[in-house]
Amino acid sequence: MTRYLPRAVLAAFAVLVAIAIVLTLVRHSTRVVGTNGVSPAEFVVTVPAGERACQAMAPAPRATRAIVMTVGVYGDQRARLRADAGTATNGRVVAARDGQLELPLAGAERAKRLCVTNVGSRRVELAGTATPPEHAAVVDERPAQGVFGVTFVRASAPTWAERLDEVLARVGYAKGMTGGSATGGFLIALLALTLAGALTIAWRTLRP
Amino acid sequence: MSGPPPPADLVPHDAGADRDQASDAASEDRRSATRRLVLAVATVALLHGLLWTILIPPFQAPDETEHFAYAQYLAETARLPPKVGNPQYSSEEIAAFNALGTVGITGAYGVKPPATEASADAAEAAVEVAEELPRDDGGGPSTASAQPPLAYALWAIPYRVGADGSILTRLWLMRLLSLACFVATAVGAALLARELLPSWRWAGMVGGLLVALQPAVAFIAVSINPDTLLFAVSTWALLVAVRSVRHGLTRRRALALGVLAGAGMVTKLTFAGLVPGLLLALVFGLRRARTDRVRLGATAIGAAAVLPVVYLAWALLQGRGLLPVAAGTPVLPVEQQATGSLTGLISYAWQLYLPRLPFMHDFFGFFPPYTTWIGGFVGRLGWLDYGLRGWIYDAAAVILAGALVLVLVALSRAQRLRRNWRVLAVFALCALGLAAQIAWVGYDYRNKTGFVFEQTRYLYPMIGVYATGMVTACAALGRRGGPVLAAAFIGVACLHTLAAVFATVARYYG
Repeated sequence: MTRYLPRAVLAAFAVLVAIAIVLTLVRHSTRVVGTNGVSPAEFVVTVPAGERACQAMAPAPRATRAIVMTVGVYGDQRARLRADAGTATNGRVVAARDGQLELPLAGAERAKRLCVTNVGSRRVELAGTATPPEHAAVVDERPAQGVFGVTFVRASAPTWAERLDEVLARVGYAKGMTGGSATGGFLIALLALTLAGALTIAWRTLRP
Repeated sequence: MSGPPPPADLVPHDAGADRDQASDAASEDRRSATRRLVLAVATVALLHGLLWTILIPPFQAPDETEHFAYAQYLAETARLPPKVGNPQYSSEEIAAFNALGTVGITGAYGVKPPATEASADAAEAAVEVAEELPRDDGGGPSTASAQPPLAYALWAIPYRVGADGSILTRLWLMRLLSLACFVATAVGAALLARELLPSWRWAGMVGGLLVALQPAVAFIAVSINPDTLLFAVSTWALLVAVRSVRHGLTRRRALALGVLAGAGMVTKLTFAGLVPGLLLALVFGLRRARTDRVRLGATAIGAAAVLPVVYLAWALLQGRGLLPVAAGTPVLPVEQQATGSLTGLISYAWQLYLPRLPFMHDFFGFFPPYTTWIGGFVGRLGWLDYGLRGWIYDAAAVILAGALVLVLVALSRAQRLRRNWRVLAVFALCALGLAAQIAWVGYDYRNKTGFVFEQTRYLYPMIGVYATGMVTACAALGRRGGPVLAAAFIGVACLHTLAAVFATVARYYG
């Protein structure tokens, strides 16, 4: 009986691998759909009360409903911010605290600019990365010290299975390759072949 | 005219011919088994490594930016960096960083590579523009520029092959060469495990698969990093060393050991840690040699000297030192740097690998054997900016500790210890040399920068010993239990791979 135990163990692990894949696919993934590629390393944009910081951006992912950014309000309990896609000025006003803040954003997928308005009564800092003035965000027509970093988020977190096409396509996009999810599909094939190959070889090697 | 064959017992019996035939058949069986072993392990390593070459976004492995810059400068100018006065990176590489958002992604989990078709189009266009920029104006001092050039010289080949393509095409072609090193490492580990446990039919296959499936090794080994060649060269050097110790030095083994040691010396300075152990293996091998020992010793030493001498000549002709000044690491002002001492170094080295003793100054504030070594072995990926779920590290620590106990049990059998003491001495000296060298560099780095230097990959030159150790742990359970544990190890390795791939997908594409 124990002669067959190694193969029973391998079969059990093959089932476990399958279960792990299924459990991962039905898990809710992140709400994050992308970023503007700017790390919120330091406060580089100061927005005085009543003013608006704007910067250029590539169109955000289609599902974007809000942005998350790191802000500094110096403990001001009445700090308020609003985000818009550079055209409207009627975004929802959100109470701001020091740290990460989510701001609703409409029409982001068509936007070429992103603006954050300080609706409070004291200055607010936006975190990002320092850049030369010609690439920096603009506050009241003056260049700031850099551009602010934003993370684009969707309304709710879908499961990984629901996002599979999008995630696979991103494997190609990350390398500056368009053309759909072929790269990601190839990745899945390699993963399947690796695991199946290893388990099959072990099955044949650890024979009774 | 032919009749029926005579009865067998009437045929004159040639015992020598029978023995020869049996011996020929046995060696053909061995060769065939070796072919199967190499093919199987290489296939899994190839598939797994290829996966990681695609999964990791460009420049998102530790120091890949600097190592690419070194290789690019060498490929473009046939000169060794550093070129003082030049920046680290070429104009083309900097433009590629900007196109892909490389600097912003590094170290910031929430920042992702281009994630939409529009941003991918923009990145592609920017990379195309970058192709027109100078490629040979980098090569300034960096964290990589002090390293010897063998790996970079090899990467220059795929770089030149892809010279007409974009920088991303060249990077991927270079990663394919790294992939070949990863495959060689896994195969070397398989052969080492089989060499040391010949009576266990599955030893080589299980040892090889455990390396081929190790995601933290695969991740770093397929990136542009001289570590990958170091892993391959070290694993094969250990294999030849073990064969020399067990069967005696032959001309081929002396040549192979020498060439591998020489290649290691001009691949990465870390290899120096293995040299005392390899020298001990040479001495043991010479003692068991049947032919001219002086000539064999001279062959090994001479072969080991060839590549370092070529490097020396190249560096001297260029007016570059063998250990040029590195840069790129933020060093504290001199008055803030800690002063080193021998007792400090000993205490640091102790705490790096063992529990801190009560009277020792706490250098780390955490437990390096778990956080640094086990944590890194399980997976600290990207620019060390993401990993796996917390419980996986704890589970891995339990499994590795259990395996270590089983190895000790296996070795505690006096007969086994007596039979293998030379090999164990070589392994121990290699491990000690490597550990001491890592501690030496880490102590100096910490004093000058205030940061912790050590990463698990610095121990991967001994990955073949890990494979052998895991198989030895299985063997400790005997003929019935051993294969069961081996199957469990392979199963866990598959789950480990899956977890690392999912974590990477979530990090960069989620």
